[in-house]
Amino acid sequence: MKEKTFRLSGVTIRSRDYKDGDKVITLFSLEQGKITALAKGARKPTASLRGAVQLLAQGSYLLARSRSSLPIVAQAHQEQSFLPPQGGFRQIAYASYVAELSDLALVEGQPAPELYRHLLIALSWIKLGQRPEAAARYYELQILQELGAFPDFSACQNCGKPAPFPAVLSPTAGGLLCPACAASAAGPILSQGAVLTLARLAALPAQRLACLDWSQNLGREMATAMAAYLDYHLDGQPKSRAFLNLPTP
Amino acid sequence: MTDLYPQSLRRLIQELSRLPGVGPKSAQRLAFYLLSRDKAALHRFSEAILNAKDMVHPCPICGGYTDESICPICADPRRDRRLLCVVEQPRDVVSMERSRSFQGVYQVLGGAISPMDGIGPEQLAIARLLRRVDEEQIQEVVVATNPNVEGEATALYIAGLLKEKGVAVSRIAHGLPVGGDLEFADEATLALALADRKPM
Repeated sequence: MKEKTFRLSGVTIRSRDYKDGDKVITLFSLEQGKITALAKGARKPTASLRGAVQLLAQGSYLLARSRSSLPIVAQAHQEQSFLPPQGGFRQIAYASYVAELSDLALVEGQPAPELYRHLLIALSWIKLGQRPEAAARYYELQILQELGAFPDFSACQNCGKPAPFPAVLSPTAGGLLCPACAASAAGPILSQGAVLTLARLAALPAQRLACLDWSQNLGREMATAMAAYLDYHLDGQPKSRAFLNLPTP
Repeated sequence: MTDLYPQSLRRLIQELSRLPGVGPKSAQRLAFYLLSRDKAALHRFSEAILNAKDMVHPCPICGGYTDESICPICADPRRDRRLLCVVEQPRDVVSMERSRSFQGVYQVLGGAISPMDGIGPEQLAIARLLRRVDEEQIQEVVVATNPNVEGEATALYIAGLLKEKGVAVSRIAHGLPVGGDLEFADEATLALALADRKPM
């Protein structure tokens, strides 16, 4: 028989107001992957749960199973918040994007400990405020790895020849297509620089994220290609993507 | 179980259960309570709902709720029009007024920027706020959006726009609730309370 309560450590990747003073939260937990739970009274100023159920909060959670509804957050202890303390709008937009990608990619109750580790890295990087777009590209690649849909950058997926550049990144083919094979296939075009950067980014140890640098044009090229590739594999498009390049004063 | 009730009662329960915070059981309890009232009381009740719906509208200046042409706060000549407080919802105006500590005027945004819900600045009354800052003699804007991710995103976005106009922008302080114990405060709140500490 299952225990009535269970402990999780995780990050709140979605937090919605519910009824008068409650919240429905989605946790990306180390132990059970995505879990949706009800935090009763969490919007009240004196609620002890309040901090831990905010979007981008990391903490430990004690959840109680409920027969008729979602599990209930019985206790929560916030360890840190990935909300940038003196951050700008752009950092919040990137942190929200990474959280939303997790929500779209994960299946309820299916653990993904490796991806959880990558989420912490990406959010920490965004909180530091240095090149949040690098953290976003890094996490997008890790999500594709988790989904088993990591693009093959080594050769044309149709004819097997080393891809001459620019090549087409085709989600249906599972990687690059050379211009001859891509004649009828739709997909974003990637330069050699973009392919090499993405391949390096995926293989890079997290602490060396700062070593990678790229031009604005290359950044745009990679962002467009990854967006199209991810959208094919995810259940819906992340709404927060539209906010990443919102002009801010 | 509600199938056992007469059709008209089922309909009442169904309508009541659409109200926020009212589940099926509460809806049943409310329905039976309403049935126990006399007809005159029910007429007053239904008339009050319809009347509020007909009469209440957003104030054309601040966006708060009113049943006059403009709300009492915007109409009050004693309010300090150089000081403007930005809030998310009309109900937040009432919360701020309860404090009796703010003598300025308000601007209701109608929500907060929420990247994950796809709510952007163009869906809020930010353009109206900027217009008021341009047209009225506003010297300071107090941003009183909620202290959560969406509220912070909104505050940062607004502050950026207003600073370009040379207006002083302040954010309401974050910290411990009056009567709360340090023991039960979360780390983020304590960190903000320490960061915003003031000399004594």
